[in-house]
Amino acid sequence: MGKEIVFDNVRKKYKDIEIIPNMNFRVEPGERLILLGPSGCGKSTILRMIAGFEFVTEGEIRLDGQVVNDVPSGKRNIAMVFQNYALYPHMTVLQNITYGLKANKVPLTEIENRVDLALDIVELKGYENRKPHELSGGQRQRVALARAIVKKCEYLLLDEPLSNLDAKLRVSARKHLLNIHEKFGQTFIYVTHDQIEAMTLGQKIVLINEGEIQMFDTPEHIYNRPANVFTAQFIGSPPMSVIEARYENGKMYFGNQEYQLDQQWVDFLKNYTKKTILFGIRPEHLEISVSYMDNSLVGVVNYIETQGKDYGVYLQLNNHEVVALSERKNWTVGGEKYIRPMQTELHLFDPDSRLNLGYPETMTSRYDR
Amino acid sequence: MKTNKLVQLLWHVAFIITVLILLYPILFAIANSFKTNAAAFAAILRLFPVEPVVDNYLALFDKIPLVHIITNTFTVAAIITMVKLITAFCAAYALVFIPVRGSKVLYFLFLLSMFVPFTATMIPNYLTVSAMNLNDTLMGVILPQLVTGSGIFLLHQTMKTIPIAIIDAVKLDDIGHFKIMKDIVLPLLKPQIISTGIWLFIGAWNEYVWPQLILKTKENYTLPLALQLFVSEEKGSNFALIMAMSVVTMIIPLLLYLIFQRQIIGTFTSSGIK
Repeated sequence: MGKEIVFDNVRKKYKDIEIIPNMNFRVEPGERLILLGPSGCGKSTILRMIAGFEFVTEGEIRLDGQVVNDVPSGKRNIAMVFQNYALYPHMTVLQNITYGLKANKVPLTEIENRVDLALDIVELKGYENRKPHELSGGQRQRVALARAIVKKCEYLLLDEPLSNLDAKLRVSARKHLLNIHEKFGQTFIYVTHDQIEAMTLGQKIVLINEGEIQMFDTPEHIYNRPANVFTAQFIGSPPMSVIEARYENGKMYFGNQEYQLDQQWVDFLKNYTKKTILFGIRPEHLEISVSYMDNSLVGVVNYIETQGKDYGVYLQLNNHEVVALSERKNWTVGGEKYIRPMQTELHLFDPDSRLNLGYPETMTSRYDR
Repeated sequence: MKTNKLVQLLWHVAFIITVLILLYPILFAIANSFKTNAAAFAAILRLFPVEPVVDNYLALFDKIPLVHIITNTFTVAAIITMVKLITAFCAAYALVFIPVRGSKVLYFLFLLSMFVPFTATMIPNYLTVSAMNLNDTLMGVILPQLVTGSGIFLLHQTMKTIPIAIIDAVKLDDIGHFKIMKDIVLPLLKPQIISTGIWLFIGAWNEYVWPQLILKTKENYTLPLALQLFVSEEKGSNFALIMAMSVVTMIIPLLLYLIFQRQIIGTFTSSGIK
């Protein structure tokens, strides 16, 4: 069973570059936590600090209540799956999986049992005597996974383990991972920049940008109640449109166009009269039509993106671009179209702090924590 | 297409000529070592002796303690090679995988040592070895040659190509440096270690100036010194005998190379990644 991980005012500097100014979070025992963020945001550094490959400049990392800042990697009870798998190229699958156990003098019968179970889970029975170069990418990834689970550690760290697999293999690999978590219940720390992996695998997500936590919450909350503009735009594809608007007399003004808000928003925004607000709407919540709709805005189609079932329609709305998702196929570039945000799906942000202004009380119940 | 084939042909001709030029002195020595001295002087360029004789080789045993000298040479070259490999391997490992403050300066100093000419260290080394009463001993030849800057450089370069994730993975299993070296780095670097080893061995085998300074009695000589003995003592008059000595001198490194060259081919260091 997994144990708790705590980051307590952790700071990380490389020479003069501040990678992580100050990080605080707590991972519940046995939780699947996703470290999500763009490349270079510091998420891998966080993982490597947990593993003990990187030193902490300041602050404390506690595993199961114990400060591990100076504990060497091998004593932290951690297993890890590396992005490039890091298999030992000169060893067979079986040797790769058992090397660590043998070196740590685990009894042979115990090793056999664990290997048997692990190979079963990752569906690699019969491949014991192959070498890594005789395996496909997906199989190598599963060897790495098997090597990590035979250790029976309380913590399983995964550094973008699926990033080298094709889309189809990723789906089956995700299933393997969930299966493993269910069987062993380790605390998962999973680094990725892929929001779909984050959404499907995470019980909690830490969204990081430039070494700072943007939001730490469940996937559902992160998607539906983004704490700030960065979160709102990082999650979801195509991203949420966030555009400047002026609020006055119950209406949002986009240049000379206006959009009437309903009563719950008018009540909520009573202190924001004549102020600029960042107006956010997800593509799937922006209705689009060729014919006039009540309380709609007019945008000019810039370009169209095929997304399989839907089409992403990018429109110019005064100085800004917004995206709408539509199942309708034949949109033409250049035409004026009617768009209307759904009143129950608006996200409003402060233009200075870029934080979410919140939601009217009548709307909070749905995603209440 | 046609020009391509012509170019290929020209390349082949060039290769063959190069190989012949390289091979010729060896063939020349082998051929003449099987001739009598008179026959050699009569037709020195003939590569296939009319009446091959082994007299020259037998004469070597009479003139010098040949077995002794071969053993000496092998002992010196083998010890120097082994110890140099071990020290270079450990140094390269520490420089690559145990970075500490000053690692880079240290590595730079190792590299710098490659550029100090032998003649500059010859006298200090000679005085040191003499002061230790190791004159005229094999130990005296070996002692100043146990570490190699260029060996460290070569192994350092290849060790750096081992993905750091592999070492990280081992570290998570609470495995010490000695075991990492033995079980992971050594097998991965086997081809490079063998090729570096052959190169070091040949260097030590052929060494002339330093052993010449240290070794005085014939029983302690190495092959290059013994070879020189014939050239200077007999003024090169017994030419066929000198050729036989040359063949003996070069045959052992050649055999070693042929044995180990298979091991150099075939490496797949990077395939555990991705």
